[in-house]
Amino acid sequence: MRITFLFFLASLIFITSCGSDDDFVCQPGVPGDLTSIPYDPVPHEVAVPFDFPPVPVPPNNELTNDGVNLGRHLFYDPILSVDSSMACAHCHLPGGGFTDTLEVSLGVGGAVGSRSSMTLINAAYYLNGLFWDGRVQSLEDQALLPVEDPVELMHQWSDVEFLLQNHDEYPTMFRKAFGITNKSEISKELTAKALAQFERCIVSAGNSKYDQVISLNGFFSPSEQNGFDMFFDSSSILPDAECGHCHNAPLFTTNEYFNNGLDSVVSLFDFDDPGLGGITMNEFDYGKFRAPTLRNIEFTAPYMHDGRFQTLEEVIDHYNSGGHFADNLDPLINPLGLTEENKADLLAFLLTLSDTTTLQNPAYQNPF
Amino acid sequence: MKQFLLLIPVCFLLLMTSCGDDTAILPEPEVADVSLTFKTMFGDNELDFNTTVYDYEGMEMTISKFDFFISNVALYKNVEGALDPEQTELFEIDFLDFTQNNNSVTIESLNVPVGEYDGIVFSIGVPSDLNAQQPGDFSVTHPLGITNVGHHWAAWDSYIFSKVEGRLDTSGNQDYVNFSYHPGTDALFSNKIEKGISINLVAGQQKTINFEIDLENIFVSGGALDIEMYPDSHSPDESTGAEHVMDNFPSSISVN
Ligand code: HEC
Ligand code: HEC
Repeated sequence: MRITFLFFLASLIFITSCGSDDDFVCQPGVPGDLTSIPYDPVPHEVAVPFDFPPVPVPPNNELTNDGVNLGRHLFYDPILSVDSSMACAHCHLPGGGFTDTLEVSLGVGGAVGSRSSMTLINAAYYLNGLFWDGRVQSLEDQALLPVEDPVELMHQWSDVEFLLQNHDEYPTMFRKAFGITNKSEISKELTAKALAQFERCIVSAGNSKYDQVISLNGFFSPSEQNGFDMFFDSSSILPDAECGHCHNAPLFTTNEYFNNGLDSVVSLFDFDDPGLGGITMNEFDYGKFRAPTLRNIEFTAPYMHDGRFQTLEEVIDHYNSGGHFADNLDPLINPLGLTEENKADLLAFLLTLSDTTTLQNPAYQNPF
Repeated sequence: MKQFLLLIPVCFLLLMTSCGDDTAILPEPEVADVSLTFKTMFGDNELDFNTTVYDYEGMEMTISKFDFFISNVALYKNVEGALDPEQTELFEIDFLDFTQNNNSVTIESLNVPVGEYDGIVFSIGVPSDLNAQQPGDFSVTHPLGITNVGHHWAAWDSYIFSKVEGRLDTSGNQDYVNFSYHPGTDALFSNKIEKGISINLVAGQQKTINFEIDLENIFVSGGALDIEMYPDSHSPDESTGAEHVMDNFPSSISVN
């Protein structure tokens, strides 16, 4: 009797000790076993414009070819939404500068969100908080949220995990991306890691007219040059437009939070959307939002966190007016005194930030 | 006999642990653990962002932003007979952001050789060799890297050494003048600022050196800056405010 028990115990130990051991061949037939599929991670290189630093990557989620490929599939796959009707890409379309070009986003079943979608271009470099209000710190943490958000994909992670584990292709792709040994290891965390890997690769191609001029491979028209000078306050003849303070090159954002004068309020707690203040609970942070990048701004209308401006002309008029007063209105938001010609020049400069080669990069398109 | 047998593995163990690292024979230089703390004052009181209204030449002033780069920070020892004091570098550059850190910034865990020092020396701003570089040349989290790109100004080919921003109510009836001073360019980089203070560093002990920066003094020293007349200084040809700020840093910092 005792001997049989010992035998049982020994065989248990034997079974549990394999699996993680690479050169030990497990018995075939373990449900969900993936070890027969090779795991050979190949580092994934991302080319960046000359004035960008290398893409920052967290040590626990290095980019690999298979990881990025998996992320790209997940990003375009409606399997992440409750009724299989929409994927991340639905609200972050390459052709829309990785936004949905709506005032505020619409989720599953037409559920109306409260904020405008944000571009994902150069998101790898947005290291001062993500979202308009900075409420998450990493792309990995961000990617966990849309799936269960009731105005986005409205699903349950447990269900999504089940679907991915029992899918025809995803288990193989997760094995190749992360070296998991069993389907059951497919988790929301690994799904988020793969999505983050794909997003980190969405980097400016460096082919905008601005990039060409700055790398001495082209010239601005006189109007664009005037716009550049006003944007960066670099001319003593033209008025300062002050834009560069908050939308600085090369990312065309500083990733800081400001009140750029969209609304007048008596008390700072009165903003319709509290922005950063809703996260920090700091009175002077209410109504502050993260300054977004202006790269490819031509394609991401309408503008601001609530999509209130339909055109760039309206945006420029807003800044030219000096904005609406609130106690934390940024000191750089003042009446600018731009003439019609100045405004046209500033617009001409903003359009030099367009780079369709980024948006059309085959590596970012729908793989299905 | 049994005891003797036990001794064998013990000796063996000792032998093993004692070999391996023969560089360990050199004595480690003795170090102390040094921290620098920085706090902004407005006159006699600790600076309070946004809410406290200060009297400025009879007008109401609030401060919304204050930060600066500190660089070439070293302790020095006067050496008898030598012209220049002997310096021990602490670090090349760091960025002190008072707005984001509730007006109190600490630089911790500097390992500094023990000894008696006669003071600390530093500059405000970005030294010209570093200032010639761009945010993309540094790692993303370096003080001069892309995460701090709001402190680089491509149009001048320079980092912004400091930002001083706020608002002045000129009449008491909310006639606001917004001001923002952003000094930069090699020409405005501060000379060496020397603060004599005896600092005795003892092996293994912690030592804190406290800096206070008086922002009011930055505005008023050498004659109060006319903020209404010069509310900002973003381009090199309107540098009155920027020069005023940089000129007054040395006399506005005290160390104890
Ligand atoms: C229903 C539309 C919708 C869907 C679906 C959606 N997003 Fe978004 N996304 C938004 C909106 C709106 C924001 C801004 C929300 C805010 O600030 O609160 C945003 C913000 C982001 C950001 C922050 C960008 C920045 O610069 O801070 C990232 C990253 C992102 N989404 C990735 C994803 C991923 C990955 C998925 C799929 C898992 C996804 N999104 C699905 C609408 C959507
Ligand atoms: C004080 C900082 C600041 C200055 C100066 C500034 N902006 Fe902005 N900008 C912001 C912030 C913050 C937002 C986001 C505000 C929001 O949505 O609530 C923004 C949003 C925008 C948007 C909309 C982006 C989008 O994706 O919806 C455009 C376009 C824009 N700014 C252009 C400009 C131009 C052009 C100038 C110069 C005339 C300028 N900005 C000056 C801070 C600034």
